[in-house]
Amino acid sequence: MPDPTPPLPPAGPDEVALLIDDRPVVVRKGTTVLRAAEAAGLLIPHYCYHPGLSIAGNCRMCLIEIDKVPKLQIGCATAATQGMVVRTATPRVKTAREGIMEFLLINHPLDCPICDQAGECRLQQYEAAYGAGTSRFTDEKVHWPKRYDIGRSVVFDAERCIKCTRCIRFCDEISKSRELALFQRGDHAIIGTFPGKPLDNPYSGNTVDVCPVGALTWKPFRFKARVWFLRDVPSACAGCARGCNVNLGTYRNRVHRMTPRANLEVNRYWMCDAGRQSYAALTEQPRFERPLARPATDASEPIPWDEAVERAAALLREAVAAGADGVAAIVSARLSLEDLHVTQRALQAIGIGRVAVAPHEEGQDDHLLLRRDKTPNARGAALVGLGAPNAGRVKEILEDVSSGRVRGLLVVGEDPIGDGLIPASDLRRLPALVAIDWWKSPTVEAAGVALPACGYGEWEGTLVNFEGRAQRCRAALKPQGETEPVWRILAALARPFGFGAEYASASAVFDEAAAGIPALAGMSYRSLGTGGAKLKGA
Amino acid sequence: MPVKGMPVRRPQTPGLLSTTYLPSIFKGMWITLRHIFRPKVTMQYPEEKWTLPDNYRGLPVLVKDDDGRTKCVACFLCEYVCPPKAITIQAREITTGVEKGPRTFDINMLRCIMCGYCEEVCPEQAIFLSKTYNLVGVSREQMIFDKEKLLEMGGVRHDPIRKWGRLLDPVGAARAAAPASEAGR
Repeated sequence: MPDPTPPLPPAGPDEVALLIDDRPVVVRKGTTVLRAAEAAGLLIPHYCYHPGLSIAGNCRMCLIEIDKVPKLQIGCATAATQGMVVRTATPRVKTAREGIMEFLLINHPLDCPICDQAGECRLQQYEAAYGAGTSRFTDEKVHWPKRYDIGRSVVFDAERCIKCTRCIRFCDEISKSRELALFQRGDHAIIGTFPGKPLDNPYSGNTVDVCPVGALTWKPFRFKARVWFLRDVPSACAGCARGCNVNLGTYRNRVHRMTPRANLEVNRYWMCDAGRQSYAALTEQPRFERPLARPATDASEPIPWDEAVERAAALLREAVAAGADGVAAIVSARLSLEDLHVTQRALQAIGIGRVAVAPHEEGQDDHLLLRRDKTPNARGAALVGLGAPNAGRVKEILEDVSSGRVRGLLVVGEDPIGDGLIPASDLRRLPALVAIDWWKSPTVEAAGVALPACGYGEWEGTLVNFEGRAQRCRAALKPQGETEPVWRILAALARPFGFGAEYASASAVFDEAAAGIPALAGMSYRSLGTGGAKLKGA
Repeated sequence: MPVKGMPVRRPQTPGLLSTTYLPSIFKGMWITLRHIFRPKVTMQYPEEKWTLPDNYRGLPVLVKDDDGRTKCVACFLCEYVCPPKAITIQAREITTGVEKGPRTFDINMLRCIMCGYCEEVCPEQAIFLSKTYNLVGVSREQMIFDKEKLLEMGGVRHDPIRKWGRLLDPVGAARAAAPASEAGR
């Protein structure tokens, strides 16, 4: 006599109800059993299935038993139907999984000690959970090329590959670059590229992410840190106006890798290679850890914060006193919304009316993620009232600097000298040049007073992407040296001019901004969460 | 109600002979005299040393294999398992044979508690607890032993299992470096 089964819940017209391991589930028609099981809180192990890719059904790890179906079926490619009774842990299923694991591991080199995937490897996880635990294979394993340079940033190890074809499907379906293919057949099958066409597309790093084993590894991350040491801090990429959701993998106060974090409304499961490596600037660019000031001599030298802020305020006060037209500010749209909000208020307090936000554009918008606009927070700059990035206004200000009409300039997060917009000698001549930046740019070196800010990964803040989605960046690192967030620096700089607001944290700044900006009404760090939220009316 | 205590016997006042201390002095000297003619049991430490048991746990050291290869592949398991966090490793990519090795491998011997977890966890049999127990230095920096020092202390250790042998011999290495299009068995 069959076991009494729980009754099926009622299903709507577009839905089906089924039982998975005696758990009743209602899902939309056309949902696969694997997804239905996920909805029921059950994991069906799988290698080749990836939610962002087409279904290949070749790894056979997701075999499940369905009542009234004689053979085991693959959960990833079987649609759930009304009244279906699925079992994911019967002895037959367990034996099948054990067999699959044995097949996959027969020729596996077991070089986990030198494999970057160790710690987040599906083979390790599933062998522990579903494998037999021992090997019956005593012969010499089949050997394949190791450490094969398959592309600009990716290394391929054919011995570790399980031929799940996720990377091939990514290149075919998502990046549409079609570099990878499966060559030969049977157990001679190997992933490879076509002659003279290495894996080189702007999204090649995603093949490493989708690889469930250690066959594809990311060159810049190779052997940098074991993944079990990394602390993944959820954040948003500041490389372009898309604002892909990312995890910052940090260890010993250093970001070691950036990986995409799934957000179906922004970047789905992907991110571009440039964004993936954008964390490197923090360690590759020269930093300055203490405020710098130019005394009589030309060499900038570190001074204490109090003194630096006093001197910067004095410089700006003199310039403003000589005439408000003679002072201007160039602000970066790479700053967070919090920074820009305080910048806007501080500029008003100081009496700088002439403000330009610098644009940064490169390349074109592409079919997937990359945006031409390389500023992550152009919408935010417009939102707080600084205005949208405008190359013309920046140019006007710099022309007036060269002609001597502007005598005081506050540069926040920008580098007009490095960007080739103005010769260094012209900026150096300025009586009052105050620069705030996270790295020792040529503009910082030319500044009368330069104040060190936190870099990406060190500050906490919000970015508004081109679609009008506010997303949080979290601080993953301790700020280097004496660097401070920009909002704190500007609040301190404006205090001698009567700026009264005190902020305890970036979240307090955001709350103030949200109270004053209708598009942000009702938002807070808590409501933004890890996925962000669309602006009102966007 | 008054408490009644137990009567205690107090020592009697010493006799005349005892007050001179002479009986005790002669007794003690007699014991010393007897020991002069007995076999010596004290170890003359710096000149004479212990024979340590095989399972003695002294300072951890790194070893090389018969080919002179540093056996450590920088898998970081010892750093992970080390209870007092005495081990600090930085890995690097190497171009011959095994892909990975340590760039730096520091053990802070002031922190090390000689528990032997590193030896136990090592998948490459590259780290062992030696029988060295005297740890001398004049600064904290000197107590952080680097890779070169640890390898020198460890020396060569014979290993019958050549785990990476195929990658280390020229034929296997050439095959592993072949491009995918020419791959095959």
